[in-house]
Amino acid sequence: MQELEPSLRSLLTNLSGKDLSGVDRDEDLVELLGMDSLAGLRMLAMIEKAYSVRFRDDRLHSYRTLRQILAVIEPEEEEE
Amino acid sequence: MRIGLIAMSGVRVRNPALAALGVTLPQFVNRGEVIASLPSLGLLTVAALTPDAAEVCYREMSEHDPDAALEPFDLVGISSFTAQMNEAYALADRYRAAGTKVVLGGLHVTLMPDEAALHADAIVLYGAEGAWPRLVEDFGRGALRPRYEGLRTGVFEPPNYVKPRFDLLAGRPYNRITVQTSRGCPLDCEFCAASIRLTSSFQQKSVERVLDEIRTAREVTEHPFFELADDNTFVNKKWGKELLRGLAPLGLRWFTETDISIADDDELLDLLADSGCGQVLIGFESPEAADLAGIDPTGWKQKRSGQYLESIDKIQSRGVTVNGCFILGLDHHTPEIFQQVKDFVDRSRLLEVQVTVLTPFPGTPLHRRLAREGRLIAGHGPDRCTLFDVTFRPQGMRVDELEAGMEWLFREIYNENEFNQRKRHYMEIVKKKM
Repeated sequence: MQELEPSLRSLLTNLSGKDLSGVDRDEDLVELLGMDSLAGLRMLAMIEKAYSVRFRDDRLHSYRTLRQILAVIEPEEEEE
Repeated sequence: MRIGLIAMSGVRVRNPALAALGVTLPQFVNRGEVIASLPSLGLLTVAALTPDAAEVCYREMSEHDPDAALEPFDLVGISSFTAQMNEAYALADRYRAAGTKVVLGGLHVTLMPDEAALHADAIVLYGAEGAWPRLVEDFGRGALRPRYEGLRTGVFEPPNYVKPRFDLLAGRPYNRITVQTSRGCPLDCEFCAASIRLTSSFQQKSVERVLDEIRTAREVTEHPFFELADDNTFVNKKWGKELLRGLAPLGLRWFTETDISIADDDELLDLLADSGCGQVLIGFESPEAADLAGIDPTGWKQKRSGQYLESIDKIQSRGVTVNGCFILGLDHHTPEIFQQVKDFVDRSRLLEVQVTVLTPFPGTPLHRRLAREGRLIAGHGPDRCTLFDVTFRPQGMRVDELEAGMEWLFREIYNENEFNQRKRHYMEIVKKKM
């Protein structure tokens, strides 16, 4: 498990109101939480602010799973 | 008795160049898919008006396949927008040839009753309230009449009001659900072919009824996104605030159409954001005040155009995105309009943009005026009323200039890069609000 993963799960749980502690890293969050496109962007914006990171503008539609998000907020871990 | 209610759905574009271009532009495709996925609230209302003894089947038809087998019904009701009307007529003709009675209703039928009557055993004008229960009863005793007139007022009051049959949407692949809070719009724009043509005055549902419908509709699908099927939701700001206070605890995500006056009311904007409103669609029509002369009888939009930029910023700063609508081909438009719209979109930082061509829908004041002026293009009939095909001769440019300019503008504002920039802008607004 990556260092920031528990806090990311906690952030998304607070955001969505659904317990995401046991959700698979590869689960499609947009689908799981029934997010429309704007809600998806709100989620990314909140993650950017919380972790002081920036998702690539040309790939905003592709950050849909915990694994994909963790790869941005904790890139060195993901590369191992 | 088995009644089939069939909605012709989807978006049509006849101009091949534009149709080919459209499928490659992300934001254009997105909105097209959304529109195509909206259910026919009119037919769900018709279903609710149907006596309990009859079985109602709700169907959506994205295209009419003349070779496909017809589903058997005792009575068929078809509703369609103008652009799909020829397909609706073809389907109606096939059912009638097979011996099934067909009823046509909806906006186009109300505006063009004599044309529709050629393809139906009965037509329903205006709202289905006040007409449909009688029609079904007449049909049951073999006494269907050729024309029924529904109510133009009092449609949301007892005993006329019914809650649409949202249960008929169960199992549908889309999660978009429409709920209507009002019919009509006091602005009365010359080109409008929306619910204003069904009513004699602005009709508004009680907040209690709206919330009740939303609660019922939520039982049908997981994570529904609501589109209020209104033409101008916040005409009455006091009612609007009551609605927003009622929506806030429901935890919804929703969309509606309104006018720019919402930006005058900070309390309403705050409530709008708190209620989960993701986007409001506003018809700006044109960035320049001079272009808006004559659009509506009181010149309201022209008077408001000077505040467009400031108003968009006020609304979007709350995290509620604005879908700005522009119409190309207005009488004052010259070929410069395409660049002007592009510049306005850039300056305003609108998070979504909808560009259409001025469309004289049959039966509207605009259609009557252009017909008088001899500016309708022969052979470009209702099936070209897609909002993307040119059906009239503009005053300030040639038809080919309008078509080419629209294509250029589509490429400029709907491309991937612009789409991404808009998304990024929205995210920055969200971050700023946190």
